[in-house]
Amino acid sequence: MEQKFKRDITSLEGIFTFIEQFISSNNIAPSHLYPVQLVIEELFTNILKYQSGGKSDVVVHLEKSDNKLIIRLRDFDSEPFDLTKSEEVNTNEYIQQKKPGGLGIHLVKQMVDSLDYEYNNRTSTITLTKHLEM
Amino acid sequence: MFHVEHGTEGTIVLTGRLDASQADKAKSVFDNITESKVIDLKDLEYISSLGLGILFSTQIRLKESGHQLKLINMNDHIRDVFKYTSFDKMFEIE
Repeated sequence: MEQKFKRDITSLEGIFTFIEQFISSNNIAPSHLYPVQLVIEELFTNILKYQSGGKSDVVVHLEKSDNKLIIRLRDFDSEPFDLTKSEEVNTNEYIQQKKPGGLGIHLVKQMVDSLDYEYNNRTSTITLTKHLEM
Repeated sequence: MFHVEHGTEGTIVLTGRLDASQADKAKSVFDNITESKVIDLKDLEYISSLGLGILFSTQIRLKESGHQLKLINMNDHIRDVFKYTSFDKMFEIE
């Protein structure tokens, strides 16, 4: 199941509804709704922030495979930005430094089981997997 | 939707979903807090990193003048998010 979304903050509401429909129609426990919405919001807003020159829509793809949820975001007009290589956030140091920011990707990494990035012909593909308890 | 209301005894009540599209609304309220406040999250369903950043910045600013935010009635999902970011060490949470 996938859908295109305009690269604009106002798309978030539609993205949340799309995720809710997917979770519901695939009999996935409602407890997964919050983390899935959170990781997709963080990745989508990251695209808006760091790929602001891009013109294309962003495709959100959701798929249930065995006991796994596969989440994929594709941005067809982007510069390379490999999230998997972003610096690890030490939250204790972060608090001591008293500087907000950079938490989104940290949260994504905490909430999924794998995070992959591919870049080809100006297209960035971010793929996450999350195990679903039986 | 996301709403901020003033409850009884000076409590601030957050309701709904504090996602990135609602962060400006939250920031305009929290930027005006100048003394210790209780923030009631009973009806807050969702918060993402931008909302967390607003709470974080407000707490840092208030602590410099001997004040702080106290968070009450947090749901389990939001509690997880606070744990993952270690923000549970920064706030009194009840």
